[in-house]
Amino acid sequence: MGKLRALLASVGLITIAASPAIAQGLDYRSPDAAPPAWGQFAKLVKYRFEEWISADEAIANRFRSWLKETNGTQNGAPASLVVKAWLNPDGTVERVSFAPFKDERANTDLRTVLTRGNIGEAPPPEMLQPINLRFSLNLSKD
Amino acid sequence: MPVTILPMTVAPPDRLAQPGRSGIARWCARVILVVVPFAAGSVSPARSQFLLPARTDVPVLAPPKPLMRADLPPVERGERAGTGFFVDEAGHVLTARHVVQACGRIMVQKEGRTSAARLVAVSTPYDLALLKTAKTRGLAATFPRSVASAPSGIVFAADYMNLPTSLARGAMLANASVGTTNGSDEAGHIALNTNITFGASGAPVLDSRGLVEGVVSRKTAVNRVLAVGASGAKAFLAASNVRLQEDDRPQISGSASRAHRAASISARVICLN
Repeated sequence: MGKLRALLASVGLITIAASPAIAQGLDYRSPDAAPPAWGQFAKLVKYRFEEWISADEAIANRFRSWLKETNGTQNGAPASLVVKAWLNPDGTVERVSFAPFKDERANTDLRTVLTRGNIGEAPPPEMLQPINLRFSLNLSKD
Repeated sequence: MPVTILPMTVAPPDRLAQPGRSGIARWCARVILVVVPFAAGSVSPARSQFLLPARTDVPVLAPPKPLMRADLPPVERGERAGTGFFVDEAGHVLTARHVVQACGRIMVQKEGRTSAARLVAVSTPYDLALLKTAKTRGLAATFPRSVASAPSGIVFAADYMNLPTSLARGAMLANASVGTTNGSDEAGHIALNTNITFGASGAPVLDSRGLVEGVVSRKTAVNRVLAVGASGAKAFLAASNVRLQEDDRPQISGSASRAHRAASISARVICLN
């Protein structure tokens, strides 16, 4: 359990930025420049994604196991992962996009985990999407 | 179960040919198949015909189960609950002082997860208490930088346990209006015209910007509730070295549901004795 906690604690989102829908690259708008309502909503998305990745259920467990097993190898996840998220007006996650891993099942697992729930609030109607979230995947083998 | 099939009995031919009998009747008359189930070797004594225990049988009774604390109603367990809300990213929760006074243990519950909380500070002038949990769950609240809750402003405040009901109804902008306070006893407070009731103590009072204008304290009359104003709450948090968020800009869009924001920042606070 201690190992699990350590693993969960090390999965996190370190920066958040909102970018215009037309800017599909890593052309982030600074969170400071965005309206506070956008920043609050992005924080909530970050929290939910962290919770879903940390959840004690089969797919999330499998994804974390894969992260841990392949950490530091060529087939593993990069240290930093940018996830783009599109949110529906009801707070559900319409889709996510990220640079694919070499393991197709890990891609599917992460996509499943991140699109399965509701953020709990509706995105501000004027908020530009997708929301870009940067994950820090600092995992250590123990 | 073993069964015995007795030999077929065939009636004499002359009786089979009698007119006026249907085919089925004839078939029944010709063939009689009797199946008699019995238990092999179970020539039983008379007492086995009754489902009674033998004289030497002692009924096995389960040992009495001690009444667990959890089996008792919350009031008899010495349990009370209110509402609180996260005020920073470090797991600090602000609630009403009377919710957490004289508690053996304090728990904070949110979205099915329960975690232990530690009482960090209580306010002397106000009905406020600060708790520390391991992690901020959801969002941390934002307070107005310049406090100005005008009378007749509409706000939202609710018991955490009732929030799911509010959310199920869809977006909710307000359920209370700001009234006027009376006398020096109510200085530093805001009066709310609302029908919120038990369990709402410690709940955040959210204005149209999603900012915390107060913390629900006590009911003073039917449909009248006093809440500690944001100034007092901010001073208390600052004195407790909490790095609270302040902003005068809207934290939610104009049409956004304040009930949903309340759910994002709030939690249930449980006092166990």
